[in-house]
Order: sequence, then C-alpha cells, then structure tokens
Amino acid sequence: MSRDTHQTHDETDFASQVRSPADAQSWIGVETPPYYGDTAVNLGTIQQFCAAVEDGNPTYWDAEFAERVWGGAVAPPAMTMVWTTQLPWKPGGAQRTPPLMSRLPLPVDTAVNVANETIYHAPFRVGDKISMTEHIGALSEEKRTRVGVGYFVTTVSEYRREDGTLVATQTNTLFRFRSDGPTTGADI
Amino acid sequence: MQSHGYLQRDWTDIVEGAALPEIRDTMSFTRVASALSATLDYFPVHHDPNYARDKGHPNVLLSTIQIMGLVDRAVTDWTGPESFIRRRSVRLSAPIYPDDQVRIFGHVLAKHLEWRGSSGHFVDFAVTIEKADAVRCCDAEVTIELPVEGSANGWRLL
Repeated sequence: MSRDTHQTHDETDFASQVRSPADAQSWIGVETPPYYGDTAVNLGTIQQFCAAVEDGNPTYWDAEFAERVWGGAVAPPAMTMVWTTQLPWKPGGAQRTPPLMSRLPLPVDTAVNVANETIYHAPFRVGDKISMTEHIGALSEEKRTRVGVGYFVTTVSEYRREDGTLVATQTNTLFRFRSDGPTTGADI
Repeated sequence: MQSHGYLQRDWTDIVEGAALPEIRDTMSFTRVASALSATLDYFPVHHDPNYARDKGHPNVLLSTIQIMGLVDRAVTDWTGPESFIRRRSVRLSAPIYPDDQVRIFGHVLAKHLEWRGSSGHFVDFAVTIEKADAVRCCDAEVTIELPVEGSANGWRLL
C-alpha cells in the first residue's frame, strides 16, 4: 500500500493537513507493516518507569526474585507502548513514525486519550526486541465534546517477540479534535 | 504465603468485595516530568506547558502510560508480586495535572477459574482514580492471574 508518509517537525504535534474524513475512512482495517523501537526491553527504562509510578514490586527491583518467579527480568505491562516508540533523535536524522492513531489524516490540531484496553498473553522480557503492527478499528463521525470538535479514533495493535509470539493486544481510543482555545481543562 | 520477604496473596483467601488499600499521591511536576524518558511519550501535552495551555489545559497532563502504571501498581501492591496482569481496561476522563492530589482506590469484583478459555486463578478488580472534589480521572478494570498453589516453579515466564 502507498500513502503519504510526509513527516514534518510537527508530526508529534498531532497537527494534520486538512483532509476530508472520507480519506480517513479508507484507512480502516488496513494493517501497518511492523514497527520496532530503538531499544530492547531493558532494566534501566523499567526502573525509571517504576520510579515515576512509585512501584516497588520486587519483580522489577530484585534480580533474584525475578529469576526465581519469572525465570528472568520482565517489564511492567503498562510499558507496552514504550518498546515500539522511537527516540526523539537518532544519529543520521532517522525519522520517527508516529503511531497510526495520530498519522490518520483528519482536520484536527490536537488530541486527548479516552480509553485503552490491553490483553497480556505473555510477559515483556528484558532483552526482547518487540515489534508492533496495528490497524484503525473504528473512526467515529464528527463529534462535539466539551474540549472541541473531533473524531474518536480506535486503533488495534499487536505486540510480538522476534519469534512472532504474541505478547499483548491493545485497543486504544483517542479523541482527535480542533481545540476551541482555553477551557477549564474539564473532562470530555 | 510469604515470598522472599514480600506478601503474596493466595487466590483462595481473596474475597469478592475486598477493598484495595487506598493510595494518596501528589503528582508533582517532577513526577510528571520523570515519566517522559521512561515512556518515550513525547506528545507535547505531557511535557510542554505552553503547548498544553495553548490547547486549553491549565498545565501539562499525565500520560496514559503513567496512569496505567499507577492502576497496575494499586492492584499488585495488594495481590503480591507474583501476580500476572492479564487484562487492564482504562477509561480516562478528567486529566491529571501537576500538583493534583489523586486518590487511587478499588475492590475485588469477582474471582474465577477460567478466563478466555484458559483455566487458572483469576481475580477481577475495579480501580478508580479521583482528584480533588471527587473529580473522576480514571475508571479501570484489571484482571490478574495468580500462580496455582503448589506449582513448583511459579510462572517461569508462562
């Protein structure tokens, strides 16, 4: 499949070229090729994450415990998306591929996440090089909410080990919208 | 059952309706910032206050990944570190901003011996995150699996 892969500095800005939502409809169900992150599942990032959520689970801090219980070090399941997200800079200026939910062309300028359901089939093991494929599961018609006018974008992503073992299946719904300007920051 | 000095709760002892210990946490700006390199979630609304305000927020807001980590921790702090999270569903409403004081609470919804065609020891939880004035930030459901009592080597990476 070919599609416009033009990436601007604002790709992570969730800004989109103004397109008709009919263009976006044609993306539904089309599976991406696999994405890879820049680093394998690793203990350094794991412990930084545990510090950010103050999780003292010995699974992540006690190597002997992890070996005895899990057969080795594993990552917190909440870090699913981290392992296939690329660094913001790499030597040679390699381009980041934003997730499908934000690449989908819609007349919007920002987004807020609404829901996430993830099923875990196996752990993310330290050393695993994880790949992800995804597709647009659903795209709502234009909706007005308290934060602005936009679209609910649902993506279904599968995360796999190098040998193809399915580790996690994620369904995420993101509300992409045109911001109305300063609000009270109230919820959707 | 004690595990290496950590309390591991046994499936047979878990009762429907049992409450998770409430967690009260103040999400300082530093806590929000500390998640940036650990999540690689560089969407500017999570680290750039100017961007966040330009889009209608009073400040940067916690990422989904960090919220999911808090939910998981609230469950496994109680169930014990030999628990494997099988499913987590979160619905996000009010954003969590720096200096918000959050309250994370929950309870056992159900326990069962089968989940998606697999047999084992499973427990379902409801977990809620609220901030000041009982404003709802997150409604979650978590299903964890516990090792079956008496199995020789625990999980061994399933």
